[in-house]
Amino acid sequence: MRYISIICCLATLFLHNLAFAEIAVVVHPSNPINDISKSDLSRIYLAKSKAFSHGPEIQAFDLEKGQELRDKFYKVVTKKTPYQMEAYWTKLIFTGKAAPPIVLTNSAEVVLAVSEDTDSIGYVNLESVDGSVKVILILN
Amino acid sequence: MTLKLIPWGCMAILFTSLTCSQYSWSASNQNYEDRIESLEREIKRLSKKSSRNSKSINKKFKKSRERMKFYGFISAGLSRSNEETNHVIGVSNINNYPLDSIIGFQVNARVNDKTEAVLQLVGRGSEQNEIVAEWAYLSYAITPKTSIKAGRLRVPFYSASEYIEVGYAYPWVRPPVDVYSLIPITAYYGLDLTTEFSALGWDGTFQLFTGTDVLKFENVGVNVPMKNMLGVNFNIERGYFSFQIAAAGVELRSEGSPILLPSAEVAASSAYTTFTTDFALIINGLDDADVFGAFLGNQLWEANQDQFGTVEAAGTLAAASFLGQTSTDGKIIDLQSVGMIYDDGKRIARLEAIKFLMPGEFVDVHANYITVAHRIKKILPFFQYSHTYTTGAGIIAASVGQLMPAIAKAIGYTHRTQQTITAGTRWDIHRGLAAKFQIEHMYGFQGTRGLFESSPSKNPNLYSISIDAVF
Repeated sequence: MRYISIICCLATLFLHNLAFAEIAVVVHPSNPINDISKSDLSRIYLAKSKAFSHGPEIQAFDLEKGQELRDKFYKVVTKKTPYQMEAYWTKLIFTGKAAPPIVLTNSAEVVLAVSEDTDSIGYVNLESVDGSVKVILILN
Repeated sequence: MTLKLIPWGCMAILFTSLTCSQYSWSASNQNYEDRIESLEREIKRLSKKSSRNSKSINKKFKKSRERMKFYGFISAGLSRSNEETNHVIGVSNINNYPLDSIIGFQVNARVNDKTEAVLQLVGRGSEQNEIVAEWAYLSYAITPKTSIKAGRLRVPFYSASEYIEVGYAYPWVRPPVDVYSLIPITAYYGLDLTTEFSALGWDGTFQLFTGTDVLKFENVGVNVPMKNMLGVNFNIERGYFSFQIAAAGVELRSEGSPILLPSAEVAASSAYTTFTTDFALIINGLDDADVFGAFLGNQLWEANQDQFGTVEAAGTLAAASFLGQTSTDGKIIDLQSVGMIYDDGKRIARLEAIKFLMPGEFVDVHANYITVAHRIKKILPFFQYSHTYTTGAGIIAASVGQLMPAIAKAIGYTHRTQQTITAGTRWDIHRGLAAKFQIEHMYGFQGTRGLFESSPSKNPNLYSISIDAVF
């Protein structure tokens, strides 16, 4: 019995941590996309893919540099470290190839921005998601 | 019995009252919780509403800010070699700190959804901080994947040539000199059509560019006017790999115009005037100036050598004058390059090979490098091997080299070879800020001057440090 309760406690703790680590990728509810692969998402955030499959140009939202959620997102999705991302954008900016996503201060701002822009995409802490946006991928 | 029942009765009453009180406590607790929850919901709703209002304003402000974007980069460097002769980047055994010092500002102004204006101003320590517009163009998005740029653009020839001055973007203090110092053109006036594509899991860009500018062979004091340039750059990426291939044809200005123009300093010298006047008189009477020019140059030099301080000065004038009288008839320089980059975050490998196929007057130029690096947290140590060499029997190499070996060697129109081994490290101090240090050891000159102004006295070392930032 004691073991079961210990296991239960550990499992709760584990799930609790897991819940904190979850990142939701969100789009506007009117966007016909219902799911997205990690590689397609990576291409959007590396400015390799600039339009949704149904046509419109993508407006990606990002979090400020140095935020844990941002670093985690890029690590999981693009497999790049913050230093690699910095050098990557340096190249794109100063060669005129692409401009970085619009940077917002926190998940709530991203949810709000995505809810107001039909052609946008963002990533947020799962806990910040409400009915105003559509979740198309959850990252652990 | 009654007495015996009393404690039980008491206990029952106590238990009932306790249960009830607990129930009523938990009931009231539930009540409070409900109320707290509803209050929290209300606060959340109100705060969301107010934040929506203030954030909508913020967003509007941010959107307008997105129309104008400002970026910048800065590099400050210090280089020193243990050799008296100047290296092609201008460094000798005297400290020469401004050489790698560069500051750049870029403004991206969005005119409308499809049009953007970009201006990049660059000031270089090696040019006494004279500010030049390296980029000044209008970009129009024909489709989300295809855009056309017009104005002053960078030549997208090497893998790093479009960001050659942004030190933060690469691991080295400066891109490998054996390869990157060779191209005589970095920016041009013209058009660039770029299209992006995806196929079979690969992402690629195809760039077609055309335009004109003046080729500058600064180390021999001559400029070559260009009629036009047409080039392509094809880049594909997948995962940690990216590959690039580029080719450009540069047509030199033709018919009657000289292939080489002396620099303003050389042209202003009285020695040059005398030399070219004499030279023109003789050369005009000849049919095959290419072949005999060098020989006559030698004769003229011997006749006029008292006017020149050194053999090198005479050599520069002889070459400028000789080629200045030669019609090029739209001769072509073919530039070709291939490159690969592997970067998995920990391990980096970069390699590139280039080839310049020159008109008959010159020898062909080849160069390549390989860099390998391994990241240990914020430190990125790297090793590099690079090599430059020439092939072919250019007229200059064949005739001038034979007749005037000292001059030909001094001005570098004969064969050149050099190898370099580099060890260095990059330290990412902070996001957007990196420090670098590298030692280059140069060898394998085979009696040529390699990338030095004249043959070095030993196998030299070059020590460099730099701080690079982007903002």
